[in-house]
Amino acid sequence: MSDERRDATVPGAPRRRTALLAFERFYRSSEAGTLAAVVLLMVLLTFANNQFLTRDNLIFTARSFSFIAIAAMGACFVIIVGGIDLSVGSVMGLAGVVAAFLSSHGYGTIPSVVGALLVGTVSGLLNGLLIAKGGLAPFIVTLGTLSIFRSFVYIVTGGFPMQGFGPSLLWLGQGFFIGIPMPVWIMVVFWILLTFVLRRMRLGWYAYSIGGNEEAARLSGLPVDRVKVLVYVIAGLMGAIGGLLLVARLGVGESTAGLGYELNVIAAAVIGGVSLKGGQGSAFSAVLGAALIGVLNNGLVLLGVGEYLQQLVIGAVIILAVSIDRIRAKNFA
Amino acid sequence: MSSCRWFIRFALVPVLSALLGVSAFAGGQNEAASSKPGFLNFAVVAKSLNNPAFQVAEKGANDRAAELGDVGITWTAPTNADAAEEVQMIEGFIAKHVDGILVDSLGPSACGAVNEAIKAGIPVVMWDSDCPDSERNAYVGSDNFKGGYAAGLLYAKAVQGKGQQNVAILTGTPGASNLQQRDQGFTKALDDQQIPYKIVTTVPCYEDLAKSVTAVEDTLRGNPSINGFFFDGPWSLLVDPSNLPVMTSKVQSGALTVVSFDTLPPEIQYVTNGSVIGLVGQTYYGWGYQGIQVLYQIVKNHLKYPKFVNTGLGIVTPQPEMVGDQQSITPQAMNQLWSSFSFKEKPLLPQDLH
Repeated sequence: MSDERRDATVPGAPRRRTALLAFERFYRSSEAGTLAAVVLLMVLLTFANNQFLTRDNLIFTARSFSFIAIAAMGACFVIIVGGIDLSVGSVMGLAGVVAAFLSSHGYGTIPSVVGALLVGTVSGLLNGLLIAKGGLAPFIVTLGTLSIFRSFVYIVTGGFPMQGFGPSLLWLGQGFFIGIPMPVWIMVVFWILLTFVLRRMRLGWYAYSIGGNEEAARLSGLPVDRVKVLVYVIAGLMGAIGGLLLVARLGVGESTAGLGYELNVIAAAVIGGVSLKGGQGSAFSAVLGAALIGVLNNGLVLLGVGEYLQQLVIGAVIILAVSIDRIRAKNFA
Repeated sequence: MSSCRWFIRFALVPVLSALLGVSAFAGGQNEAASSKPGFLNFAVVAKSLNNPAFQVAEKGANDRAAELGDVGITWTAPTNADAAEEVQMIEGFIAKHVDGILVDSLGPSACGAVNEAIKAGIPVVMWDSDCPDSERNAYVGSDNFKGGYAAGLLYAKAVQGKGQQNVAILTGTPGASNLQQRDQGFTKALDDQQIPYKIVTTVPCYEDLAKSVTAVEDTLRGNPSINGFFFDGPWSLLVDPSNLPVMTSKVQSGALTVVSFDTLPPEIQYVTNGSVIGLVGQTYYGWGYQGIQVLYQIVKNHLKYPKFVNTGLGIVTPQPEMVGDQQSITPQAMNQLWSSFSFKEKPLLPQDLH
């Protein structure tokens, strides 16, 4: 973090050097390693399978990782302040099935979306209050709420998949705008929005400061507790949006929606360069991490890699991507 | 600040206690334990809470219990198909000395608990998923190999004389034995019908709907020579058809034949709209209905059943036809069964099974 800020503006630098500086600034950022890995993987896949670099394949792959990316951008706020949110998979599921329930019971799209967002807000608020105001460990609290929210998913669905949503809710998950799937658009919008929040708004600066050194932030008078509650609400909301879109895309709200996704969401953020120690990361890292896993999954199936080997390859590529980042970081040590 | 912290902690205690109290009360309502002489308390353990098939099974179990009149049922399942949780449940029922247990096994560890129950003198009947090497009294369920075989027969009939078949298989968790049996049954039928074929790839989806859709679409996009797909579980067909554009367009142009396992409500539309040539399902209602019947006859009347009580298959095809020795029904008839929940079974006695 501090590296980037220091290099951001060099007073009186000649104009022709700005591009170079921008490049160097990016190269030093934690996203560079993952971006390199994604690009490398895409180049390899382009040569390996002639179906990879087709418009259909790329947009559907982007759609398939957009849900994780959206939730991961929220998770990234929590991780930046040094917390963790394990309940995100359950929040995704609960928000999704609440929207599915409302929509399949004849409520319009707006009440369904509001219902899902309400689930995200309330669950985030509960996590945030217990952690910031209750002084409980984030890992424990969200482990507990993971199970509580999942239980609500079973109560809402009764174990039965719910279908028959209103057309405009389905459009959010399945529709296209200028040839790009709606979930991808929504991912991009939040990417821009949350990047702005992190880089330009006080909340972002506070979050980095708290993650960097919580005690120092508290002593310098930052509203630490309020920021913490807020980041969990953001994580809950982003999880809810991801879950809502996932359910809308599949056209079915079932009780396993989002089950186990917390691992993918947190992995996406961390692979992209969000530091689990706190104080470092960006919305872009979350998208990149999700993209790496998404493209990899797509490639493994396109190439027909055997079912028993797929998990091995995914694990190896993740470790490789992170080590590219370590090598890059070492250059500055 | 710290008063706020204490407030939250103190508020937490009554809220969580109230939640627990409500759940315990709801649990007690379910139990309906009776100590009338001759009244039997049976426990049923399903694999998970998240499958509509199990709810039909539960209805079957309750229906048969109501017909018998002197049986009470406690129905439970681990929330997420977790074997360790299932073992704990079975051990709990052993400690409670129930009169009999129906178990849908999640694997070898559950089979160990089944043997413990038998050792404690509690009869155990398996359903849906068996523990073949355990001491259980009987297994009530569908024959997965035969189910796969029926799917293979449907496929063979559809592609007869259409040349080389490059078939992909969508599976749940790699290595699950019931799914492997379905795959083996499927290929055996193709062998028997002398269809020239090759299994090009087997893609797993880890029982996740979103992953299953991506797996099917990516497989078809990555290898255009694939002209057949066998889904050994329902996953991809539980979602909206708009998720499967490549599959749908290939089927419509006649370049792809798809057959799938299970006959759950969302799958039926795929037979109606022609995307899938047929569905082969298990008799979910029969699991519960015949499970209670067999357990009851073993406990009450000491009847001896064969180790495998076959509850048959439910097959859905556009028109009723004979598939092997099974009669199929139409999608309309299957939809009717689901919407009225009016599945029917005749209680099986040992003499019916020869």
